[in-house]
Amino acid sequence: MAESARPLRDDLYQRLCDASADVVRGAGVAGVCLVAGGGRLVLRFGAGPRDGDTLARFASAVAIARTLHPDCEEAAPVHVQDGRHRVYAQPVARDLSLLVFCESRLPPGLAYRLVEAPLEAMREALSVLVAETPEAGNEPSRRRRGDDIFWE
Amino acid sequence: MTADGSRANDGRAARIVYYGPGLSGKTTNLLRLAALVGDPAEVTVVETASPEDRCEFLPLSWPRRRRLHLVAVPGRLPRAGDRRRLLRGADGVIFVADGRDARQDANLVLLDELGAHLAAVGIPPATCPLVLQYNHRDLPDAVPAEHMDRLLNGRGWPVVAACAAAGDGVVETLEALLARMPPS
Repeated sequence: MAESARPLRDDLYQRLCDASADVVRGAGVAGVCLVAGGGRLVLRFGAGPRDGDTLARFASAVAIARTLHPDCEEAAPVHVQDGRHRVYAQPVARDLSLLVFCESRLPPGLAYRLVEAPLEAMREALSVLVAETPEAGNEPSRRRRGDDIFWE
Repeated sequence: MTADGSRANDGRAARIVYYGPGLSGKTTNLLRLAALVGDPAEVTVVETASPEDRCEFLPLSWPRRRRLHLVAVPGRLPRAGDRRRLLRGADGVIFVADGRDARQDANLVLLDELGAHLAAVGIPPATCPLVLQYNHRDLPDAVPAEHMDRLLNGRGWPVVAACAAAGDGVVETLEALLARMPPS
């Protein structure tokens, strides 16, 4: 990575952490996760399911929602809910989604308003990070097991 | 890409769409299957802009078979666009027909719509694996299966009579569809 890119990355990462903390501080919000396609966990703040099957199920549900929504190309936020979790998902880029795990008592409309602004900040920071990260396979030697978009 | 089963061996989960009018029992099918194979709490409701833009989703590892992604479409008539979009990439369709007398018109409308929507998303309706489930057979106003056959099954699709609320016919319906799809 070019030396000049590091300060930008650090700044973006700080913005991402700040926005994540804002999301998790919201009333009724348990945690926020960034998951890749297939449900691979990339980043977590606060609480949320840890098993891969659950995250994979939510990742698939988000993919279906993008099919369902007429503006699916616009990465519209979606609401996903099962018997244990109420999740607000914001597709980001490159098959990445932010999943906000909310308490079930939180009405959907209120949850949208609570997390909308900090989620948008997270999405913006992530989009820039993802945009400047090479596609998988372009620089395979720099990737290590367990790393994702934040590898150095 | 068509739904003639040619993609079912490529390692991805096979997508099976539960199609039919509102209150015909599509979600109940998913809940019953989840209870049999896994956990009903895993039936996942997916909503977009409003609670009306919704569908239900259940991933299953079906015994001796394959990974399945079951999707139940919204049944209300105005959600035709959602139903069409959810058919994209389908490997098979289960049409859950409501057995009650007053719902036969709705069955017909949705079945006609299904054929049009399959064609619209590039799936030849004639070759798409499809099974009819005649649900609500336990209700007092259920019409005879022969009547539903005349009304809905001019193409001779496999038919399974069901009472999904009690779990009857749910597994049989899914197995009937899987039998029409290439093995995993």
